[in-house]
Amino acid sequence: MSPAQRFTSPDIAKEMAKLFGDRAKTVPVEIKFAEQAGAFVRKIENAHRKAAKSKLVFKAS
Amino acid sequence: MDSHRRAPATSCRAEPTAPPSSCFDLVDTDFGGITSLHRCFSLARSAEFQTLTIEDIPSSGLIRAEDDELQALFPDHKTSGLQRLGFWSPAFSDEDEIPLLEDKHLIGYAIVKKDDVPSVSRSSWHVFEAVFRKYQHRHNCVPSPQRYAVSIGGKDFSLPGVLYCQQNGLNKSCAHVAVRSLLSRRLPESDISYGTMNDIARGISGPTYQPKAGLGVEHIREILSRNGIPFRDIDYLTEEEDDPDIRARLPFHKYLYSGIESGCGGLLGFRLSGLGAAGDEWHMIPFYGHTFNKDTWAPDAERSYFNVGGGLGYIPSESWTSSFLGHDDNFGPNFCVPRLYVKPEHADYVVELLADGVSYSGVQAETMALPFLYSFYPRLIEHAEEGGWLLRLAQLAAPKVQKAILRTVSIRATDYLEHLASVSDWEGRQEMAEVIEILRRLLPPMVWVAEVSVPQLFPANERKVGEILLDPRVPCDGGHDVNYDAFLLARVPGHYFLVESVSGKTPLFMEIPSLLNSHVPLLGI
Repeated sequence: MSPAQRFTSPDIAKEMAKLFGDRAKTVPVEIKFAEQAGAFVRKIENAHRKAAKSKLVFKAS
Repeated sequence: MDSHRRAPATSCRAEPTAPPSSCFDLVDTDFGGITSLHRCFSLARSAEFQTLTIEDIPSSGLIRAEDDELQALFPDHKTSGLQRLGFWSPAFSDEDEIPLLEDKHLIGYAIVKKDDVPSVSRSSWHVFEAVFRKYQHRHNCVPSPQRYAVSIGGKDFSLPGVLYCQQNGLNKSCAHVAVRSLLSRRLPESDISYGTMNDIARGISGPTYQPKAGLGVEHIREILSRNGIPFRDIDYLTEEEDDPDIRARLPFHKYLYSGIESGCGGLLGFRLSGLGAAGDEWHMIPFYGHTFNKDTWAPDAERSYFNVGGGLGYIPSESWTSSFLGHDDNFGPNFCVPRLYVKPEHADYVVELLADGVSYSGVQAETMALPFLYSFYPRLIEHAEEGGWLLRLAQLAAPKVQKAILRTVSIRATDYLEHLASVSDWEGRQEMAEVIEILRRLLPPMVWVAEVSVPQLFPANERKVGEILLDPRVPCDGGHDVNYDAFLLARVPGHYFLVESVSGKTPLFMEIPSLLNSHVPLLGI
């Protein structure tokens, strides 16, 4: 993905701020469960990488 | 690639199927009684077919390519039978009436082929391919069905469904036909030859590779990659060496459901265990749809809660799925396979196919959406005076309650925006056109949409209270626990949340109003 193709939430926020004016509010949000979610996402990614070494063959008739 | 389906017939006849005509007699007498073809006729009978057309067709296109490959593998190979069967709802007895028929009259077709190879004592029919319309019940869901062009009686017809194919034990195995079924739904040429798959396998295993020995994981991964199909897979045998609980922590049905909901499908490889199973022998079947049972008891039971780990979880929409829809090449097309029928200890490999431009799994996307959903809780509570559906969501999506339901699909942003622009909440309000216009300019071409709903509303009304959008192209490199580059927006009743800045210790979000204040329909795909 090249930088020119990036579509991010802050870009959308800027445009929405122009539309809504002072009805757009900035709020701090403390992100919960980040570590747990990150670990699970990495587990799937690691499993995908390890499947490259699989020796399973499917041929049942 | 569809020339084999559209080959002009050398002969054609129409036969009424009313009693005393017997499908069983026909299959047993003319086609060696093969189980897969009996299944095709059963599907046609269930759809109340009244006429069967039988055409002799020449070997062409993919079938010609297969014959050439078989000739190279077995010099004494000969195709001794090749027929195209059409299954029709109207009654007629003269093939000259076929030009008067329309697409809606065609229930299904099957191309059946007989391969003779005396040197290996082989002389048998198999279903080269077949397509049948799905059962019409609205809760029998096949997202993004493909249409297949087939000529019958000299006229072109278009039939919705998912291609079924059968192995022949010569140049194609269960894995070959399972892969072809799913790839036929999305390749630009709408199909792939077995010769192409076998060439790729030879490129990995060397010139001694024998197609009848089947496809390995390394072959399947390369076939998908060469055809530009992104995917996520897991080999449970390898994985459980490090994590004995992997089959419970990452169940195979989550991968299958995710691939199915996004219209891509999934492949399941499992160890055979029934009568006659010969030790370590693995079978592969493709899945492309699911049933939806709004009255199922399972989600009310504690076990439907999916535990990501460390106190993080949610109720997956998959809980209302009773069966997956798929083919088993040994038995025929369009079966309902109970979601939990294949025992986890027998499911050793699963592949979730992803849509073009998607770089991580729907299971990952769903998990990535969760921290955002639960972290907005204080903001939802701050707006609790608004009551109604915002308050209900706040109560059920509280970090200590976690009874929100998530349904996650990857779709084109244009489809999401069409949905957002067309839906009305329960009071009839629609979203601001200006909001949709900004999103139209700034969303990436594809999005993961994690739809958020709550118990009772989801199964009974098939409606939701919001969604979290993620950019599916952002690589899941695992460098950060929370990937803010992937987060696009969250919508809850009356509000949107957007990331404004993540440079400080606590990320800043922008909160803007939404005119959708209650629940809206789920995405239809």
